Amino acid sequence: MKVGVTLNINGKDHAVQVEPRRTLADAIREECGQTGTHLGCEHGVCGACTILLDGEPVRSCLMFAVQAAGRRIRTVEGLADGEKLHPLQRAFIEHHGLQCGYCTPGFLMLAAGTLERNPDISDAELLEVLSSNLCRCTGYKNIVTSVRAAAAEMKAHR
Amino acid sequence: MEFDNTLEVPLPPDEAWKVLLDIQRIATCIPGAELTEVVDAQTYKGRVAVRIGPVAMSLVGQARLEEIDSANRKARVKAQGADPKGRGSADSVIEFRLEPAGTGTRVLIHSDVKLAGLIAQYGRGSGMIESVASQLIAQFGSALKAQIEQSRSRPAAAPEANPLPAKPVSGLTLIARALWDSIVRLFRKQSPK
Amino acid sequence: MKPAVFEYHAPKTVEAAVAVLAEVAPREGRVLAGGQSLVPAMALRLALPAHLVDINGVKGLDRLVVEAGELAIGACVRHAAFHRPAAEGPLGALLAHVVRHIAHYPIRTRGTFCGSLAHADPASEWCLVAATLGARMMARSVRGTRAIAAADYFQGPMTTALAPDELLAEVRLPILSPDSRFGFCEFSRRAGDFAIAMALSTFRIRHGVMTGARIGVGGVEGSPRRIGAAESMLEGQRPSGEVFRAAADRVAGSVEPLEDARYSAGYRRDLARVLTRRALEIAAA
Repeated sequence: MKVGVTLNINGKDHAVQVEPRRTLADAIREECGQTGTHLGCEHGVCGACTILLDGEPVRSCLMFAVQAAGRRIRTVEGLADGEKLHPLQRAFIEHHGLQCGYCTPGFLMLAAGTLERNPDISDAELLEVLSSNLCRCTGYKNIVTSVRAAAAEMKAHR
Repeated sequence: MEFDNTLEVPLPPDEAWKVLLDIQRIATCIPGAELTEVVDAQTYKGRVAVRIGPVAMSLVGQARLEEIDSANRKARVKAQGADPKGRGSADSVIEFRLEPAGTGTRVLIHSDVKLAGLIAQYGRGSGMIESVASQLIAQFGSALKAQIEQSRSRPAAAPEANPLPAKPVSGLTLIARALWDSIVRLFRKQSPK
Repeated sequence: MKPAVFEYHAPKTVEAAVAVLAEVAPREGRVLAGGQSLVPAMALRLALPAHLVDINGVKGLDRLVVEAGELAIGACVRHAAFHRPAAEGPLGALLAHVVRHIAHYPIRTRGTFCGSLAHADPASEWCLVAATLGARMMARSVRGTRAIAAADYFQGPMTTALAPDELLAEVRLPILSPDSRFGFCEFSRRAGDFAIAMALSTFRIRHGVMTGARIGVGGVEGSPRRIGAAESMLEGQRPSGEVFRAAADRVAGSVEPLEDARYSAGYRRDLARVLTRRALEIAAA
């Protein structure tokens, strides 16, 4: 039995019909067509589905779409400003922070949310935050390097 | 995974053995259990409803008496149960014996339990099974003790409904429940009637 | 990996929430707060609730306030709320220290303190805190509110004294005296993993000797609990390695550890000993 809910994603409203059991991750991908958010484990362990909900990193596979009404959702599609890539996206390319790219949107949103709230984050704390998500390709080192580089650039342009 | 439990019954061993054979009384100490078929003298089919937190399962299974030694008051039971929804299964071998303990009886239970499927992989239940089994056995023991004490104070009364509050079957492991059901049912078959 | 069908309820008041809960609890109805434990179980279809009562929209459940010598924590207060001290003094510092051990940051933005208590996983850090400090659990239902003391609340893995139709509306932690010390130590294989074992200790030092000691262990048994026999060993004693080792040995001797395919009872017992000693040393430092 479907219900109507309006999801605000990257500033745009999507009025959709979903069953209550439809996860936010699935609704973002299917009903709203924003497939940048990926499904890894679908039970809250890998973080590939990470999005920003009112600025906070959240695992969208652990929320139901009906719970996100009236909230501001930001996904990886919303990072770039038109053709201009976000500092995080540029840094991941420059510092080889991705290989297969499957975990990347989750890392990007996790990093974006973290750096926006805490631009002066310490190395130790950043490592702690980035250890929230899983990557099978990179061995994490370049992800950390990329985020650090982006953090520096984001600070410089505040 | 193997573990041991003990249970105290406030009756001398011969009487305790008989009480445990009295299926009516035992059944009232185990809420949520159901015997569905007596296949033969050693084999029983049944169902038991168990829950650990948000996970509730109705395990359907069978218990088979492998060995019973009335003279020494010990027995071995093999029990298997599976979730009809395909979330996993359990295979267990339980050995138990009665020994005198002061004026009462101590029931010594040794269980060997193997979980398979989803509940084994994701349930983190394996680490809790033993703890929950101990809980269950303790609850069963308290209920049994209360019943024994009640029938002592009113020896002429027929066995009644469980005087304990109807506590929901919470935190009871699927294994322990299947085990106890199988134990009491095989006892019934050995009842000297 | 998709949850099964359920009926969704989103009450706006506590009264409405407990009324719905009273109706649906007997029919496999459960409360949805942070969902960080429940939804994974639903995704795996281990948990199959027929009804979910979403309390995230209920007014007044996000209270986090000190009153009458207690820190009142409402049902919708997220773990992340404790990153900055939620109370002045040692309690706030203790909670801010412990919270960093709970899962990972994105889980802490949604998961709730009360949710951890209601779920009662043996490896829950908040459950150890509640058991050690002697929290009061405020259970709300259509019958009203009742306070459940920590000593009566934990009844085994994932098992509490809450009735199926009771909402854990609030948990109240006693404010620690300004001169209280605390030490918390957890062991897991990787950051963010479920704790294999953990220990929490608080005590005061008056005239050079320890007093009012509390020692709690979690993750070792089906429920967290205080080890009174070890606590009394500290009373009136000067803090010293010898006293701490003896107390830790007492803890190791008192616990009946869980055993599973990965970690033996002996391993957990050993961890209980080591973590207790470390927690005491941290508190005394």
